[in-house]
Amino acid sequence: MVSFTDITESSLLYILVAIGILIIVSFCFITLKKSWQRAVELGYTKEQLRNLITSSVSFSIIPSIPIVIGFFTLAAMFGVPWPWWRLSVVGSISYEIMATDMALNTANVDLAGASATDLVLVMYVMTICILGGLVSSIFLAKKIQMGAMELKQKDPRWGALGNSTFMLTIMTVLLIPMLLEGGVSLLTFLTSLLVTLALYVLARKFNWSWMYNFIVALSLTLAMASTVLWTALLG
Amino acid sequence: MKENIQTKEEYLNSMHRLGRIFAAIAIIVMLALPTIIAITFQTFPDLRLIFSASVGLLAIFTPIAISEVISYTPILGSSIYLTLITGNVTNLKLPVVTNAFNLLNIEPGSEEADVISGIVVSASTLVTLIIVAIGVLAMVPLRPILTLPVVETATSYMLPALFGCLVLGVLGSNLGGGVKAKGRLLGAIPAATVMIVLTLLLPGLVTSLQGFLILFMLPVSYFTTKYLFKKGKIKVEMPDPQQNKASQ
Repeated sequence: MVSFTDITESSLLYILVAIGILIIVSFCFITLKKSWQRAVELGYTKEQLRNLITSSVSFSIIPSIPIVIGFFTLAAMFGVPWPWWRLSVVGSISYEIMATDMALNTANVDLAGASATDLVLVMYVMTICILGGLVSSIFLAKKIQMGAMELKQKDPRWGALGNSTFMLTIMTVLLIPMLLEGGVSLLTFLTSLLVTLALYVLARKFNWSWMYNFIVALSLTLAMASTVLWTALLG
Repeated sequence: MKENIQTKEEYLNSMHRLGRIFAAIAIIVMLALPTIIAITFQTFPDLRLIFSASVGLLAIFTPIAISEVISYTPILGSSIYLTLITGNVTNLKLPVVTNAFNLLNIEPGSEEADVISGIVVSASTLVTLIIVAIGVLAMVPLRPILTLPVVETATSYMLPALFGCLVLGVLGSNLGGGVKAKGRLLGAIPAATVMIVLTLLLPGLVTSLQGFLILFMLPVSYFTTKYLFKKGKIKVEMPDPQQNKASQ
């Protein structure tokens, strides 16, 4: 009889995960190529686009580290390939653990006593419950984007302002609880803000045009490092 | 300037077609993985069990996910599909796109915004995939370092650190593309007030229902901003076409 670990460390699962990740990688490269070509057609220089990639790459390194930490947590429960897949696609460590809990509670087992069938149940629950956005995007995304662009064409002033309310609202909803939490959260935010300002001022004063690509990545790193100090001070 | 090969509509249609195809492929692949395992190892769970285990989470996450499509598509454009396949929206994709818009002075919702989003979301996704792969391959040496208490503390405050870097660009009067809007933060006052009250009274609820709150606050901010714009309290200045031509 097949066991839980027979599946979690099976070569088949590794192969399936590798195929899945390669499909995502191919989507990235196709999107990158088409967008890059269009950017050049629109008049962006290769230097501008290379600087953009440099900035995006340096920006993305630090926020990817918590995902690796999440992988270590899930790997302790499910081996290597399945957590590797789950953390490469939509979902988060907290969601995956919630889905695991829900599935195992429904099957009336705990992780230690879970069978191979229980594992597959967990896999299905983790997969299905987070697909709503992706499914709805197929039907809604184009309509939404074209609607927003049409609005802009009819009235460019209102169109630009109206479009800006989306990011403004997202920032309002996410930022206010963060700031009201106070303590280390607020201090980290303020540190990040001040470091960003200081780096912009330095870049402008000394004409360091290269610095603009790295300001956000540097501010992020220094602000996250400062949490050690704030945590020590505030306990 | 080089003659455009495609029109804007042709480009956007092709990107949405590509996105929809890959979204469908991704859904099939995601569902195929457990199915192939179940068939190969003959470990198919009872369908009723899958349904009962999923229904609760589906009821919570599906409306949140749909609200994210509505809220994020105007910013991310056709890169919404790749974003929703790989996740990490508020902690990575949105910030990296916002940073790119600030760097190149791009107006959100424009074709340029869609194109630049495509580039940065792809690049960011590849970086994340590489870093996770490194984490997997180097799990043995990396695990003790990345699970140090100081690293875990630092990463637990990543969101405030991220938002601190980006807030000036998002809340400033520059909308990108040379467009400036003075007084636009007035439009966020009602939403901000509601968020302050809710956070003080029901902090747990605010954290768990973020997606819904964004969806509900969107029309609040949108129509408040529209009202103030029509009343002349928010003024929008379009870029000087002569200045734009000179800078090309």
